[in-house]
Amino acid sequence: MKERAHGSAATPRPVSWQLGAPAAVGAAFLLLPLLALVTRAPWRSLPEHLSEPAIQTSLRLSLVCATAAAGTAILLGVPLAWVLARSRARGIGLVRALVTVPLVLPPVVGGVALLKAFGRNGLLGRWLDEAFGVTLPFTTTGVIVAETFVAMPFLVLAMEGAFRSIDPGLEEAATTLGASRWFAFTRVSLPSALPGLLAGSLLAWARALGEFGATITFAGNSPGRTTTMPISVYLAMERDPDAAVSLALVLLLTAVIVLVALRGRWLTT
Amino acid sequence: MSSVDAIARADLLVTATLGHPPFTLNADVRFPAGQVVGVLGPNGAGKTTLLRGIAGLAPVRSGRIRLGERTFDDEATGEFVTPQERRVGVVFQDYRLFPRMSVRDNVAFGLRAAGRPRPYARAVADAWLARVGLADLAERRPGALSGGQAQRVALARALATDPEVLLLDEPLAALDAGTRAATRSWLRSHLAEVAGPVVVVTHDPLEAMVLTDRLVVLDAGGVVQQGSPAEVARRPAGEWVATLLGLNFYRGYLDAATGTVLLDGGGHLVTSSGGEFESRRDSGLDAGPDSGLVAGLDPALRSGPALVTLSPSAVTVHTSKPHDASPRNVWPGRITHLEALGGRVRLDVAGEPSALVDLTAASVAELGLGPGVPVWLSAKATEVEVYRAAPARDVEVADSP
Repeated sequence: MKERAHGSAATPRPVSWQLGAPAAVGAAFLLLPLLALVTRAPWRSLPEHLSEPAIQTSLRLSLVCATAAAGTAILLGVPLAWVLARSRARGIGLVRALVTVPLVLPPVVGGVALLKAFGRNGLLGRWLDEAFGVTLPFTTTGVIVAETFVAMPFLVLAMEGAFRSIDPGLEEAATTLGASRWFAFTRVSLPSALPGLLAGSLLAWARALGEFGATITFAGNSPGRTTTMPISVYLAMERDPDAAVSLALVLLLTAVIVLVALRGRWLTT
Repeated sequence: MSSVDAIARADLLVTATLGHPPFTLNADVRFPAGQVVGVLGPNGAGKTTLLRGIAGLAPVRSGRIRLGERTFDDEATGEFVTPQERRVGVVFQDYRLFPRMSVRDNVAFGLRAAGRPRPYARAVADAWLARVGLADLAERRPGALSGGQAQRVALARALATDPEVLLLDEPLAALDAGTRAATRSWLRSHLAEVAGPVVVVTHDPLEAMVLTDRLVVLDAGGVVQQGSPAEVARRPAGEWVATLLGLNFYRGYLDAATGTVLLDGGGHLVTSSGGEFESRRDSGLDAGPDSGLVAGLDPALRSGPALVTLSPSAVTVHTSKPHDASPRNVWPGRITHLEALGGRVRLDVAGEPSALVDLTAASVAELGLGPGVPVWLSAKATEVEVYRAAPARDVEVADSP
């Protein structure tokens, strides 16, 4: 009787089995591998695996590179998201589509493309090499470039949404009060988009941390310089599967922490 | 200081076409410094377009906008002053307070944008908040304000930049009825203190009558009337204003020889009114030997198309044909609708012409009136206001300071 008072929309109804059964299988399919990882982890040898100097180096490299990539994505991605959200120029839709290509592109293909662009004989790489003596492939900077390439679209999409949800009228109000566009952006628009910036940065950071295909293609596997955690996991699988599981656990833990941090945004129903 | 005063006293001139087709507005309007000018019109008439043009949020399509000697926007020469450089304060309909700043920082925003140091800007903001009676709300976020308070903050924020022109877009539209009356009189007194031109855009005639010194009526993409609120109320140039003012409004053809207006919608009304009618008759002047006018009728009114207004309270209702000869206009009709309006009842009577009639609730009961009841209406000829649809320019010239 109480439910009726609250209206029928709020009354929970049983799910039909035609939907319920595949839903349960789907959920199990996604969760089982994670469960396997946790249950089959060599918990006893975990500290030993993680304290290995090569792993420590790899972990540190991963954190540094992912953070640098996220930072680069913010520096370039926020203005880009702003332009995508506000510009009414011709062809802006095409730019938006192209910018999000790395989201759907196989990361290995991204790595090859990066080589063609920034490699020693690449479009821009040749000039970088000749003019500045800067080489990107197979360097730590190259790792950051590859991770930024893959992670930035996540930030751009999140920020574009955040900027779009800001009332353009607020910026208009700011300009009638004598604010320059830059002043209006930094004082009014950016603070309003802060939740989007936090979410987008975390997402981009997590994506950069887990990046494998583009990184190994563009930056290779050079311990201490380009061997990040995902690459270490892959290599360890051949040599010492137990160690690989330990390392994988660390990445899983990181992913869970990021999810928890974002729960206000995506885990609410 | 004197130069500042000189700038602050400049009139705003809009001689431009604004907006994008099909929503364009042709305007040729002067907004005098120190006056509160109401821009009145139905939704879609171009009110907001005009306001955005003055603020510099949208360039003119053609023509120009000037403040005194300064050109804000001139399509012909390509001159365009950005909103940032115009010093035109705007109070938006939805206030547009910055949600992530305190009320104080909202008001201080303009001074901060102008590069003033934070302590100075905040001190000025506090002074303005005190002036609008909100000193104790300085720390709050805009989200924690009532509509009336947000409105005051928006006004303080606009005035804190010391604008040369102040624009208000539907300042009372977002307020509930209770707050509206209080805010209206409060606004009235604050707007009177502004040195430059003040433009109040509204679709509410009552708001326009109370808040403004002068009215510019827009409709269908153009200026249809300009004048004092009293003038516009007495002789509205179109159905729209007349309807919102609750007047019976007719178009017809005046036969000046008899003072009779044949109404477009059927029926006729006899008038003996006219601007200077009473005094002229009293002083014994007549309209002249060859004018062909009824004695007492405004000599400016010649036979031709004319507009007619008749106040609903000037119409009398009878249950049978009145034989008393004094009212010149007597016609039958049938009640279609009754509506309670405050202490009165407004009848909608179908006939030739159809008319709105205001009665007291007691008379309605006494006469046994209801929907479908046949009645007779009467109106004195002196209550029938007849005038020509004056081109907007003529009225403006007469009213210019």
